[in-house]
Amino acid sequence: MKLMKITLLFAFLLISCNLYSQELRTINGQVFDEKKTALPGVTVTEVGNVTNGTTTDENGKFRITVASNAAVLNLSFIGFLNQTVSTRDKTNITVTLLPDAKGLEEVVVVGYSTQKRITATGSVSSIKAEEIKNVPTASVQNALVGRLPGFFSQQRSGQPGSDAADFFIRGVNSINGDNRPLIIVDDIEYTYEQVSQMNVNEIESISILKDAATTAIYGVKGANGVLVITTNRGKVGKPRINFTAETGINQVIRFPTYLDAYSTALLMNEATVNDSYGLSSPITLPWTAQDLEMFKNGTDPYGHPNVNWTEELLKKTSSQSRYNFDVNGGNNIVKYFTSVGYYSQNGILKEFSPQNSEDAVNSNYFYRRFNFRSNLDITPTKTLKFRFDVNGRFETVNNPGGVLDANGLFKELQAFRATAPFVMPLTNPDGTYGYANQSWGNGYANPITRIANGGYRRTFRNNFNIIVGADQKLDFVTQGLSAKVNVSYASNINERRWIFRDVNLLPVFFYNSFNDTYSIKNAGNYKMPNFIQDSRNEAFNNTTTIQASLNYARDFGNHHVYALGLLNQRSYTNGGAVPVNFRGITTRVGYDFKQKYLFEFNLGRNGNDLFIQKYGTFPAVSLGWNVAEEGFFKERFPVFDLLKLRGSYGLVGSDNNTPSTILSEVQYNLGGGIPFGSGANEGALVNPFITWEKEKKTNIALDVNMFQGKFSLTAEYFYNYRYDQLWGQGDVPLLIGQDLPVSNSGISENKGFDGIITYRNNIRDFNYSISANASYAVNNVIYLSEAPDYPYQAQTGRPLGLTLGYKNIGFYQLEDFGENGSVLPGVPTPLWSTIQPGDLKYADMNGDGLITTADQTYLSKPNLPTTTYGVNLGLSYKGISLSALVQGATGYAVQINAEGSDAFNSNLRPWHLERWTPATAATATYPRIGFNTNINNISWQTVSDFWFINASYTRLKSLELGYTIPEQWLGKVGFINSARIYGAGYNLLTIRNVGKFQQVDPEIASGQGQAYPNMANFNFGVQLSF
Amino acid sequence: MNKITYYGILLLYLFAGVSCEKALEDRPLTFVSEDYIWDDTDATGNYAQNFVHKIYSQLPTGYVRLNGVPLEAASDDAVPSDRNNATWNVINGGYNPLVPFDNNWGNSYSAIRKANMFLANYQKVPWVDPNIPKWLAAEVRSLRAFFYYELIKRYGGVPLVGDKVFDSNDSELFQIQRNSFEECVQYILSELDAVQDDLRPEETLASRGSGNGTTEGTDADAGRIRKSIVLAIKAKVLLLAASPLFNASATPERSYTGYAAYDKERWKAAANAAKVVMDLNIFALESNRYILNTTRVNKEFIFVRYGASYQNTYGYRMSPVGYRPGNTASQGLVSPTQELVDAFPMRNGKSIKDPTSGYNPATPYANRDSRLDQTVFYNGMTWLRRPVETFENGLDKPNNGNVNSGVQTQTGYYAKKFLANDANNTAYSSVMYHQSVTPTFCLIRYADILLSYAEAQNEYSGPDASVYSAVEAIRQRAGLTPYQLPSGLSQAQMRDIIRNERRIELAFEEQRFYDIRRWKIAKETYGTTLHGVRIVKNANNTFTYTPIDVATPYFNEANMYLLPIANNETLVNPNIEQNPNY
Repeated sequence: MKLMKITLLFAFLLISCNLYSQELRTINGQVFDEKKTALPGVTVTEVGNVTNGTTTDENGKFRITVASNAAVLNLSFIGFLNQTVSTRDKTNITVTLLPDAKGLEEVVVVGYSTQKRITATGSVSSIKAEEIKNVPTASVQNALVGRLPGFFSQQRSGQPGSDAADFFIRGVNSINGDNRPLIIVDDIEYTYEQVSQMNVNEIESISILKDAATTAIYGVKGANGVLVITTNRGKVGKPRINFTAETGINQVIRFPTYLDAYSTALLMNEATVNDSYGLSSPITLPWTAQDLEMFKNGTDPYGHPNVNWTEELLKKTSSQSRYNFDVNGGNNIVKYFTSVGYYSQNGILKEFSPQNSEDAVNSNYFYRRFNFRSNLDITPTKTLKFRFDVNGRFETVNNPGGVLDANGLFKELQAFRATAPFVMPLTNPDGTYGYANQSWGNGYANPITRIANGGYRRTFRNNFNIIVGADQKLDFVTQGLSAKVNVSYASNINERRWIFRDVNLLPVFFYNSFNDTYSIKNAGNYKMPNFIQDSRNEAFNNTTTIQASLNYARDFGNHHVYALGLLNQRSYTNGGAVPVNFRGITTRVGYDFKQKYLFEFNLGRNGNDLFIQKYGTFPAVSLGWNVAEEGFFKERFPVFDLLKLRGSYGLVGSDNNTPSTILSEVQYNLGGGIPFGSGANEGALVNPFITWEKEKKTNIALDVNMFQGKFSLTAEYFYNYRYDQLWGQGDVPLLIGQDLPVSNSGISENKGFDGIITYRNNIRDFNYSISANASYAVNNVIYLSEAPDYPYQAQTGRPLGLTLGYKNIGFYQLEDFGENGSVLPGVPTPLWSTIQPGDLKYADMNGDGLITTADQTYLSKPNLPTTTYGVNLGLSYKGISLSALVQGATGYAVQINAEGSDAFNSNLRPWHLERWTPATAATATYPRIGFNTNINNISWQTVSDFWFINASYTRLKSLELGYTIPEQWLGKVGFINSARIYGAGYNLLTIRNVGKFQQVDPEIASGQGQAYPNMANFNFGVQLSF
Repeated sequence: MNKITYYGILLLYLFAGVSCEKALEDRPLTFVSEDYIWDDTDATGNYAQNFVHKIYSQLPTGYVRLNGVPLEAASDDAVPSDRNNATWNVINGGYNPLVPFDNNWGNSYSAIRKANMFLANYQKVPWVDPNIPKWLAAEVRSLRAFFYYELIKRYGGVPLVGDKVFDSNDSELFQIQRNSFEECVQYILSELDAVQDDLRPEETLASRGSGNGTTEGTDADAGRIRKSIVLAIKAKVLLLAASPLFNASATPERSYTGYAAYDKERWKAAANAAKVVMDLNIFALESNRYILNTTRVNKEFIFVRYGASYQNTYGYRMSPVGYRPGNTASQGLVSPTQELVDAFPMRNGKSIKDPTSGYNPATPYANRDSRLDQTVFYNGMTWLRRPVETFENGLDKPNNGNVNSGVQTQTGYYAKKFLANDANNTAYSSVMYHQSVTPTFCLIRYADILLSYAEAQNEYSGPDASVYSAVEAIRQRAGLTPYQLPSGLSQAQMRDIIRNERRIELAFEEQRFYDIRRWKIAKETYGTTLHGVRIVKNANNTFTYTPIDVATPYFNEANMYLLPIANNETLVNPNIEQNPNY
């Protein structure tokens, strides 16, 4: 309300006071760069009277009226040094702006505003989207990998449409696991999914905000860091039309390899012998010598098949293409940027024809994305600017329908019970398909017929956003003041359509190759079953955001002052859940003296209506000292363009990990199925005082620019202390008789450093740059409510995200057993099963001679790296340019289990050959194999660090070679302004260390290793502008 | 132009102001609060009654509750067939405060909390029928007492929390101490005495089934606590209190482990309490024991847990692994021991160790107590129209990893208890339930009361006529001829007979596991090698039976008679003392 009254007042003031005059002079001018090219869009203002200003038109011309002969003009333009020009006795002036070689005027985007490198006191890493535009990947975050210090990521899957990397800023620091940063696109909050769908072509710049100084204004949402994206907006000038077309291929980086039928059968017999250990009569071997012979020589391809299902079902490459079209331009009144893009990526399934040709549908994996954006700026008066942005994305993600479960094809291809090499022939002699009919098989139909006839599972994602805003300069109230309002509405609707058949009813036959007979799996089921349709809404959410702000910035001699006050409200409705409202005010006050002594104070006061105590206060203070601006330093060390020490300290919050509802009283549960019918009972106790997590962030950094901008360096140290984390109460007696609520009790810390060092120079026309960045973050649990039985079972003092399990200390060896085959006294054994030589042996942590759950401890390392680094190389010579990025990560572990690793749960792989046998006891790297393996050796039933591998990798993440066609060649086709052709690659080379699981991708998520394989992408493209 | 744009800005601000209205939904509108349960308009008290149902649902469910096998698989009566079953941990002694076993602490205190909540709130409901709240409150107090019985039978004395409902930061929660065993028994008895006359009316004996072996009784309130159940619980509690484990405690300085000194009168109290139940004349032994497997209301069941954890899959779980009725493979999960089989006398009532019994080791299962056939699958017994084959490489002991994943009997036997008499059927009957009727697990039945009486009375006054008559009633129903016991038995001889009778009559009913502890005989009966039999089929179709060792369970007398309290419980409240020597 108050805000409204002020605005009313301002509006009247403005109308009544804009006409007064003196002896007026009109100055005409034109602005060029050093190459004599006219510069449109340069801001021209009268010094001392900033309300009097204009911008140059598409020919670099401007006209300004000044009141006095002594008037001085200030010209500023991004990428160029500011310049002041006297208008004394002139009516026509020509100005040449010099480029900002030192990079000090370089602007980075921070929360709700921008800052110059020279005066920034917070921690920001930033990149221009131009640099990553041609990286051939669908997701923005994949293109950012290795480029921004403090950005941690892992690409978990290569599936078209689902290949976006997980990313975190400065590692993770929440014991509850949701460490996702806040994502802000044009001041509006986006989800993780939404940002991965953005078209890089629409983006202008990307920043990550890392410390309290930069994130405190986001208050309760800032603790995980913030990713800020700004999109392209129109620039003054003639319409510039850009068209980019790319096409390329995706290639599987590495397929898992499997043993063939003969080797598998041999090992299956060996496993059966092992399983007979201690039995009075051994189990019958599954394969006779004759069987083995037939596997070996392939004389009975139907009865004793040898099929590599991965090779039969998948191809190594698929195709992708990308098209972008945008128009950008404008004048002093209207500026526009419109763009449309199309992205398509296909999957690696081979084509199989369905039994009935009219059933042919595209069941391959694929991803299609169409996106559009129109950003419009209208400046009806010199002081007012409107903004109308409309953008949206429409995506289709396709999966095959006939797989055993929705994300299961790659799991099936690993699973022995589904796709052992001899589980069934590729096809029967008469062209029909078989099924996994062995006693150990899972009974399912041949995957080819399931995929060929199984339809598809398709998801449609629709995403619409509208932003409307106005920005009014209020210099008449006080110079440097402006007011801004943004209103946005964003909506996500995901629908799915599945067309599939019941895979259990497909007509499949077992072919007996001895007597040449067929038997059907389901008696009488000769007919292909009907398609079934299933459509459903998978996601619906909408967000309304309203922001109103007052901005102030002004110079008083050597003193520069700026301030921001912002009111922010966001309402979020997600499907059927209770709507969540977020509201807050944000203020920022900054001051610097001669750009030498820097001070900034940020304060967020905001909250979320989930909580009883809805609002919290999040202050941060930061200071900077530009040593290089000191006179004594400038004299002695003129090579320094910038030498700045800065630091920040403040408090931020995270509401990511709060429950979707916080109850002030206990909820009662009603339900049936108990004695006498229905029941009613008290639910878990509640803690109505649940509040958000909080983090105290400390940041100390050094910024250096030297040699006229050729060399730059930023190095930062951080320490984040996160407290009030929600954690269950592990220290309350069960005697209470009820489940307990979580409380704000957990504490953890995360510390490390990150930095970037860049050198760029040129030898005549040969430009080169090299830039290296590294990020290191380690975390540690300081306190959580637990009552561990043994110190080695405490989570306190260990990194976040560890798994509890047994410590492997090798294998049980023959000498551990007595003559009767039982374990010798004194050798610790588990009680869960009978141990035999070659079984995995675990450490008896408590020394009681038994392996029990009391011997479990926290194992290995988390699945997220502690260290990531990137080295970026750029070369250009005349029209030729080359850029390369090498990226790597280390300090993490990958655990592969179940179908991904266990013999006969998984299809046999090379590492199973390294099994324990009496002969290989000294060198074995895998336990003795078993078919009915006891749980001691099963990775998911007895979790141990045997299945964890310390991983690391270095990748040639991206490479781009481009050639800009010389203008004289284009002369013949007059309408083309410029043309560039290029080739780009992604994930081109990998040096990996994944221990015994060398076949998995080093970025894989711990688990069954069933992800769609990561892909290397190669693109060839043409960029034209008109 | 200017004016229009300024009004535009104003409108935007107005819009911002309007949409600041708070959304009203600040919690799930489907939320069910405490007030809804204790609704002051709900004249029939539906939700309050449902609240009581939930307390009933925490009674023991029995059957395969321990890693898929009955509790007896951790006693001298049986072992799990699957060598990978986690119950082997227990057999090998792998339970301690860190890895507790049969831990009922949390469940019991959760039920006690519910009972206390009900008692604190039920009067808020405007009950239109004044009997209902009276009955329910009495049921709830009886249940609370029963859950304390479940606790003391495992742990000895435990903290008595009275009517208290704890809050998570209640300091008392972190300071409370264990009450003495004596105080706990006193509390349970006083609660039971206080409520016994406020319960639902009893059913008559006549309404508890026709007794012809098939018909379900008509009790609409079966499973609800009545006075007769309260009296039966009382008899069980007093029997426990009189038992050697607690009367007197081996560690008298720790009052929660039992009474400081032996008092014979405790046996008297136990005998009297059982006698009270017998004198009610509303229970009787069913002449056909199979009826206990197929009905939930009959003359014999006193206290049932109404509704058990699963229904008609029990036949598949227990039957020998060679059976595949309906093309579903049987799992043969339990292997009863030779010790259990040997406990069954000959049909003439004589122990097989008695040289005059007529027992022939070459035909070990001939002419045995019919309860053997009702409890154990043995080689040669007819089941689903074929003989059971537990001889080596027989259908039910195939020694083949491809059958039932290699899981087969460890002992030469499978457990049959609770299965219907399906010897001549082609598939399993629906057991322990009737179509559309909830299955049940019997917690106290009349045979248990008779044997409790016999045990207590024998300990108090020696084998008098009433002791003889109680035991003989059980043997008569079992079909032993003659069923009479030899006259002139000593107290010790009678004790052995009663203990053996309990073992075979109540096999797999969650009695043996606690009985061998209560009697303090677990070291000699359980902490010793358990046996099975290896059977080889000879060419002339006869069988050779060779005893085999199956397991030597670990049993430490110093601590294992009482179960360990979970470590966390004693860690977060050091006032809760752990049981001795854990």
